[in-house]
Amino acid sequence: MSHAIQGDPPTRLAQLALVCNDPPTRLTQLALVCNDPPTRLTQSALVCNDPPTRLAQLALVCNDPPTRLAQLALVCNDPPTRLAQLALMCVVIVATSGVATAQDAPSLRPHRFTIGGAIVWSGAYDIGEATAQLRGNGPGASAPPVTLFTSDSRVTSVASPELRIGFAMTRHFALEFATSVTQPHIGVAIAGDAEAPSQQLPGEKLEQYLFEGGATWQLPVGLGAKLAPFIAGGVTFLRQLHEDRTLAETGQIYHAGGGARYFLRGGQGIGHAVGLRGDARVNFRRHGIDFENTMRTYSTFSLSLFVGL
Amino acid sequence: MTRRVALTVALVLTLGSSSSLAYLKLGAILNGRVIDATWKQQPIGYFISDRPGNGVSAMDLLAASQRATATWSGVESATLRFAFQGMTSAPAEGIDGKTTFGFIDRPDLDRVLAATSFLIDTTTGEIAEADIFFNSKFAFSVAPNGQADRVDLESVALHELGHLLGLGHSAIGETERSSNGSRRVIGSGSVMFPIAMTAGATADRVLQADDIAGISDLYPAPPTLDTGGIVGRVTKNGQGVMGAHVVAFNPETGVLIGNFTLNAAGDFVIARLPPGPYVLRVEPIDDAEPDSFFPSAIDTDFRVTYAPRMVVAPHGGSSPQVEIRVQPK
Amino acid sequence: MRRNASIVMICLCLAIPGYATSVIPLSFEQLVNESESVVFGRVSDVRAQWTDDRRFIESVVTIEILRGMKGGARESIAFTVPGGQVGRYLNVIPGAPSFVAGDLAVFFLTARGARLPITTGLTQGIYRVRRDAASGEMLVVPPVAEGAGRIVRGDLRRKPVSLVTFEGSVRAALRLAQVRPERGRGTVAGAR
Repeated sequence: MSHAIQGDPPTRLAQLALVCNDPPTRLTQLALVCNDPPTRLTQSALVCNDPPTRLAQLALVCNDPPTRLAQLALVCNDPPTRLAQLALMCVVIVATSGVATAQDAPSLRPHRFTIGGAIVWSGAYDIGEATAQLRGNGPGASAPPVTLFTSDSRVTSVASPELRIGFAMTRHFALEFATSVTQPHIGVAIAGDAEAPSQQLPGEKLEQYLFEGGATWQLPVGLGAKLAPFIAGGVTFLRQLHEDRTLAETGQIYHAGGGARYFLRGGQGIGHAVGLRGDARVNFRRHGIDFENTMRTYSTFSLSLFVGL
Repeated sequence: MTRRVALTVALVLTLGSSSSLAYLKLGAILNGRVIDATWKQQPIGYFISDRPGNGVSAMDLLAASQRATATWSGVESATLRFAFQGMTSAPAEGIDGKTTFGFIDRPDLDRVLAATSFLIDTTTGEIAEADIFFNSKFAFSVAPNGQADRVDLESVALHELGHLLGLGHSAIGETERSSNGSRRVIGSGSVMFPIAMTAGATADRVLQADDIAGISDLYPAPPTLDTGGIVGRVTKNGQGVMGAHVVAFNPETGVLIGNFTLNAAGDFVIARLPPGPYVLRVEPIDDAEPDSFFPSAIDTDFRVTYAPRMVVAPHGGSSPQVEIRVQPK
Repeated sequence: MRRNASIVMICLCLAIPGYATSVIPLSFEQLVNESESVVFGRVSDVRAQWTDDRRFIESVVTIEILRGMKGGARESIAFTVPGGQVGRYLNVIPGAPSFVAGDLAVFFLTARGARLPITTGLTQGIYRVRRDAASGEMLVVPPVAEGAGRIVRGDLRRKPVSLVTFEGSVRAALRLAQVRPERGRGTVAGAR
């Protein structure tokens, strides 16, 4: 059983009691104190102790109003039977419910657009090794092949500009669209050639067009009045043109990461916000130019200026 | 592969290239007429001489020839048909109006395993006949898995049929010297490499990418827009290099397809390439008799060189011209 | 017609560069010792003709000898190569040696009794000579060095050499044969 008491403005309290009854074990208790402005969140832990069985722990964070419900699940371990155990962090229930943050954490204006320009640095990644082989000479039909040379190809790191438009669905959740054009090179390392030294070829220049759709969710973590960290995820359509634009290939990039917005102005839900933003991501690229048809992983970092409209 | 290259060069040069380049056509110009050295009529009919070889019969040669002709006909990107027309007592040489394959004892040609020759009627431009003789001085084998100390007949037949169809030699391959000074293949990238595998080897019963590209260029099966070409020039100290061997390698598919620079300007074309980026490698043919490829002096005084970037063969067209600068040895 | 046939041969050879034959490779030593004559010369004439049995067409190539390296002293020598045009018929063995007047080469020739000689090992018996544009020196691609192992294309040690140096290689091979007269012809089942 669980009980929750909604908050009572100006102070907001939430209480949660959980009784874990597990004969022949004894009761344990749970107390939760929710966020009460201007104070910060507190957390409580529920421990169900029923010797000789093992402990189960639960962490609950209550969101602050407009007050939302906190959810709690607790399963105790009860010998000889065992129960399933699940703990849910209610911060994840974000679509409609918010998470109680510090009242002074900055955020976007809901139902408003933001626009930004960024410099994105994309890390390098391999796109495949290959061996130029000759048919070997030997009895029968399948003598071991002979290596003429090996090539190891890599898309080089590159910095490029990016345009980003976002729409804040809530103060903490935003949908975003971004586009950029990058020009990395495909560098090729040649090795294993008995008739030429190992060497690095500068490679051809690619033109890459990226069209991204994604979302950010601002974390309910108070880091001061101006700094707001977030997590992000999304998918990008990739179009790559070889040098001389004689051949095009397409792919998709899935990304996950996070960053932080630093509000130079605004952020209290009123007025136009202006700020800086830093992102760090892990990207998973599928298809596009690749000689092994393998998903590739690389990182990106960006620094941008954003303006709330 | 120069035969194939010449055709492609002709196509490329007629599509608006510099007027300073010579206009090469497949074949030759004789008395103002162009003589084409491909077969105009198909199926290509052939006879088998009833003379036996060394360790193999005429029927063995027939079976090997049928397998080899089926291998060439099986190239999906080419249109080729052969038709066996019967056994004959005529030898596989000489002008007799028949295209004949057969064994001939030629001890005077004790270094020649087999040879192909054409007879062209210059008044019509048609190939009147072509013969392939297999020198019965040598012991051949038709064993399914090869036979030690005997040369695989089907492999040689496949190679000679490539010549009969109009292909020249490919230079994609590496060789080594034995302690007795003789030369041996280490590995080859084409059935049309001029030196055969060792006795007992049967791998050359199967065509390689270079062979397929060549025959597809000579006898293309529609559509032809699935492949592209790479066009370029090899230079040394600002001057063109004739006779340089250029090999294109596709890192995705692993295919190796090669060709030569064919004029004093150092121009080359590598055609029938599956679209995609290629590593280009240029090398001198200084490990063998260059006359087996070129009937004139060529420049072999340069180092093996890679093009600085991968070059893309597009769908149905040619790449912009790429220049590969080589250095003297 | 002769000139045109030669052009045809050259053009065709440019179109089909390689010989449509399967040949067993010779070592340089074998090439020198199996040849009756080794000469540096200039092609002065190329003439196609039917063979005696009128079953083949061959071309008689006449060379002006500029320097003899093996064989008796002569001013000129003629040999045959397969193929050529007589009348309406053009006989082509793609990749067989072909020449035009003015070609310079070191020729390795094999005697055939009463018949005109042929180039040893077909194209193996031809080392083309070209004049270096910068120095004006007559250069020849050197033979592949003796010694077992992979033959490396672009080997920096194997640069074109002068005729004098090349002749030294020929004479060295001749001396070696005199030291090791029992050395055979080699049994490599190689080329095609």
